[in-house]
Amino acid sequence: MIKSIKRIILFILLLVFVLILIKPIYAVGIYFPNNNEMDFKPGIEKTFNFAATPSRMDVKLSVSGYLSEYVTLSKTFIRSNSTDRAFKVIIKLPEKIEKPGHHKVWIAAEEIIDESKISGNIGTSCNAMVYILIHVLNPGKYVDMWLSAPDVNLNEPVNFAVRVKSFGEEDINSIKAAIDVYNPNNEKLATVYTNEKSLKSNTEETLHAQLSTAGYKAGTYMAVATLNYDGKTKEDKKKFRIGELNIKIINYTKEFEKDKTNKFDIEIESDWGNNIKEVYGEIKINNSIIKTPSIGLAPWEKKIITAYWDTNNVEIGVYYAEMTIYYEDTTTVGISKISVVEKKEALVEKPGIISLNTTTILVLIIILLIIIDIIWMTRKGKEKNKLTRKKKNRKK
Amino acid sequence: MDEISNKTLAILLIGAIVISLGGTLISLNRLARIKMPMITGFYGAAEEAIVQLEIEGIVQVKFTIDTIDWGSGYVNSTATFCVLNSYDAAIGANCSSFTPQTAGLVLENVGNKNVTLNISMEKNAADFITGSSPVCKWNVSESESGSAPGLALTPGDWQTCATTAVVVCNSTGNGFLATDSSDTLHLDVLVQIPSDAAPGAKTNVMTASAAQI
Repeated sequence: MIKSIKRIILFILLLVFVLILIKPIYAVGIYFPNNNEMDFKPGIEKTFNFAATPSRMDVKLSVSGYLSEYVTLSKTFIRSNSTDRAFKVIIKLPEKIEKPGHHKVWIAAEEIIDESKISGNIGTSCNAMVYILIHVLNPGKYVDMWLSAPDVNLNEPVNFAVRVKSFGEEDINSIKAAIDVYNPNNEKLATVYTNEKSLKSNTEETLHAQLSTAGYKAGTYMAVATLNYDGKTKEDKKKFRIGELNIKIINYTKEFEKDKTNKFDIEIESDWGNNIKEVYGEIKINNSIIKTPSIGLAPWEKKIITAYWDTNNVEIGVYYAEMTIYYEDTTTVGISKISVVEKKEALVEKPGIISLNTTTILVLIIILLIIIDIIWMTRKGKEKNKLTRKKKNRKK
Repeated sequence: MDEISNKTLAILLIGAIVISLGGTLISLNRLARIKMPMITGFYGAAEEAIVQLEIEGIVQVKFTIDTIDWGSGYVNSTATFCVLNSYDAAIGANCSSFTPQTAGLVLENVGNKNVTLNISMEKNAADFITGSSPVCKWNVSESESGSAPGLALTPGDWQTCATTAVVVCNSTGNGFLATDSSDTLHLDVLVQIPSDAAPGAKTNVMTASAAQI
């Protein structure tokens, strides 16, 4: 009897194990180092370590892109069952490269489609591509620039930063930027100037400027930075926001079913550059008031707050809903039309045959766990009873 | 086939949890009775240590549902074609004996880098289905909201199966995201089988190519 129980338990455990391990899905991917960039120097050689992830099919490795002729791979093929999936990317650049710029050399891992490993009518395969960035300096003076313009609140200053990187062979004596600020109507409001610096070849510097926003209204503004470097210019632009303590009602539920407890969603958006705590809504419909729970809003965050409206004894028709959002001792109010409509038919589950999908497998696993637990506990109980009886008999 | 209701699932799950917790409590009680020699920790002088690690980048997309299998069947003799898709609970009119498919294909960005995404098929409709005017199409939509800010196709718009890759996600808004909560796309496939399609097993392969942004 004990043997047969053991067998049953073993069988169940094996079944559970098999169900869990059913059809693992592998698809090729590429692991690559974080430092996947290099600067061009005549004749420079550099090796990068890559690896392909496990895959169901064999994998072909290849290189493409400008400069790919100077790249070799330590292997170009990895079998699906191979455990050695690491490979090296060796770059040996020539003495001279004609085209300056930031060149991407693409490393691709492609699954070689093997129909014997595809089941069904439509199967799948995956490929992955990563790059190594090679910076080739321009002759003369050349820069790339990036403007950053942070969002602020009313009357707070905006600290602009202009990051400048030299990609030229020559040093630059002077870099300085002028930043023009435009209001939401595209009218120029002010110009601020950054400090001035020199910039050596293939190095990076950051320039700073501050804008006073006293008197500016809340809204989205545009900053246009013009960089002057030894007589040449370059431009970058960024939008930034000036926030005010305000929450907007963006959207809300417009249709409700009769004789039901309906969700009343209100989508709100903060115009403020700081966190707002304790935000909640009250909705007045006819003479009844419903409330939402309190939430917090991060700077310029959108969120949905929800109240529940019981429409039992509410007639079908159009009503006015007065939505009031409370926050930081102030409110936003919106009045809108909503409608109560006939209750829609609920979907009824029909009995059917159980097919082996993920849900069914999970249910089976849960049932099996319950069975195993019950068998184990019953057995333990019986053994304990036997032992107790034996002890009693001995005492007698 | 109807899914088992959430209620049934919840009851089963609660049952399993209660029994498992009961078993654990019993086991822990018994373990507590086992006597071990007393071992205590030694408090020494404070030492500093540096914990350092580097997480490598990985570009990888994976089909978590990777097969559509309508099985075998035929076009009714009275019809000129029949249509199968991967999202209806019933097979198309004039199709017989095929198994309906509803799950489609699901593609997840399982790496830690945002990517651009191209999709190609191994065969076009003529090579896949054969016969007069066969059709093979696929479409894409976000399975998890916000997964693909760089979606270059209108969700649900049918694309013709072709060996030439179609750009599904470009680098706009960081393309196809690697964020765990929003990194999944859903793909459906539709085929139209003409009555004169050559009999035999029909297989096509959808290839997803992900490139680092």
